[in-house]
Amino acid sequence: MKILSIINRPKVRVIGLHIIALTLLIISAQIMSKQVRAIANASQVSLPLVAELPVLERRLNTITQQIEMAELNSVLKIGSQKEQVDVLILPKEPDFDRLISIFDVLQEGLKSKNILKNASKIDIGDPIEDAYPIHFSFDVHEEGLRKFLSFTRIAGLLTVGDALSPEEREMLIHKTEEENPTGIIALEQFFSTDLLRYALDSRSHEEQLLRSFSSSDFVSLFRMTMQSSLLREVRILFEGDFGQLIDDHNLWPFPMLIMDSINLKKGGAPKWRNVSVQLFLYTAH
Amino acid sequence: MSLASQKSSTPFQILQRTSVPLVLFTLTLTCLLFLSQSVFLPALLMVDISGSKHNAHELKTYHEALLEQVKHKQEMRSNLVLSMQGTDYRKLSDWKQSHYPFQSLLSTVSQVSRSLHNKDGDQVVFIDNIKYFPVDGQLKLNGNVKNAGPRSMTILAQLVEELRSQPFVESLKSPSFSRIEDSVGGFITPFDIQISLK
Repeated sequence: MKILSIINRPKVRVIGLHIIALTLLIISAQIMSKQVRAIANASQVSLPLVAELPVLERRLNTITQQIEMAELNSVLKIGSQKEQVDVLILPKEPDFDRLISIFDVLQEGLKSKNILKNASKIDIGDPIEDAYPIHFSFDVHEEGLRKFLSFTRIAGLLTVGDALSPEEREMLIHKTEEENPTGIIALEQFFSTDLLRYALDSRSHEEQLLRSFSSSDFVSLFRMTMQSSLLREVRILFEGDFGQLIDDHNLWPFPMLIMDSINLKKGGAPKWRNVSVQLFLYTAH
Repeated sequence: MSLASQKSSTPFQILQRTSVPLVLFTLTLTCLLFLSQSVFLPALLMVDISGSKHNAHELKTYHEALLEQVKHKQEMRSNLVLSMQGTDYRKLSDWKQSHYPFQSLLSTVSQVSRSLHNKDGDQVVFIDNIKYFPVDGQLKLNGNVKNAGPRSMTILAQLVEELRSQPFVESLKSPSFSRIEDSVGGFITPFDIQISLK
């Protein structure tokens, strides 16, 4: 009764009604600001997303199709490559005879061009975990040094794909998506090409891949990658007799060699260097 | 009467007269806004993507999910295109590829040392010994600056700065700067530079 009488007082009623109106105004203002934010959000976020989503969906679709095609093709190649890795590149027991034969062929090739001399004996140390340290020294001309360094970078790699960096591989794969998604099969075959087979006849392998792509964009990216990647060094190293000799003596693929240290001193003549190098020959666990 | 009453209206009377219409107006406004917030706006802001409707928040979530799927599928595709992923062979060959090629380090160092010369254009930086430890990412240069007269220490400082600005350099331990006189009265500044690679 007392409350009702207070409410019925004109002053209290007027103040109460104004408080209610003010509260409703505040609520309205909040809803309005929320709506303004929602509209601004729609124009800033949703519209660009709407433009991007169909592109992403198409891309996902293309990649999924490429995966299906690549899956069929990859089943065939894995077995033979794995066998070569297990037997010749990362064997359980190191094959020193084979390693020395490889060094012999390399040394003789460089000596015959008069770009290497005074090669020391090859010292093989006790293994450190799975790796055997191998140390030797020699005098070499700049050109011979380039070939030797290429050899150390290539030793242990088996396929064309192995000689490309992850970025270079990804660039080419990504380009197939834009140019010709079915070309992934040809690219996959190119990546799994044996590195020596590629070096001995690089042009025909490259042309075989390029037959699947007609756009100049892909061709120029491909040519650029062939020139800037390790594949260029592969072609230079195996040109002339060296590649053929390695093939004839069944010395390919090379075992996994990783450089531990190299020391270059001034040689006895201009452009000649005295090189002392330690490599690690890796074996399987 | 009306004019007289208007003249005599107090602020309280004005408030009393406007209170009910004000409440009705704000109540209507709030209801309409609430209705637009819960019914009209979502309907207007819905976007049709591949036959299904999404609001702004769902679009963002869908976009993120698509990006994640594309990334995952790209990895799957790379793994298929290059065989033996996850094996010791792949780890070792990738690790081997990640080392800086000594040949390109050598070319850059030679180029930098040749770019510094005296006023007659003669070579002034002579590198006697280069050591490279790819696994540790260390490069050590040893040599001396000569044919530069009393500027030999300045030339060495230039060499250090030039090397430090190369993209493969993570850090460079500054050599000690000293100038010694050779047998014919010229100046030589020997150096020992240690570079940590990125």
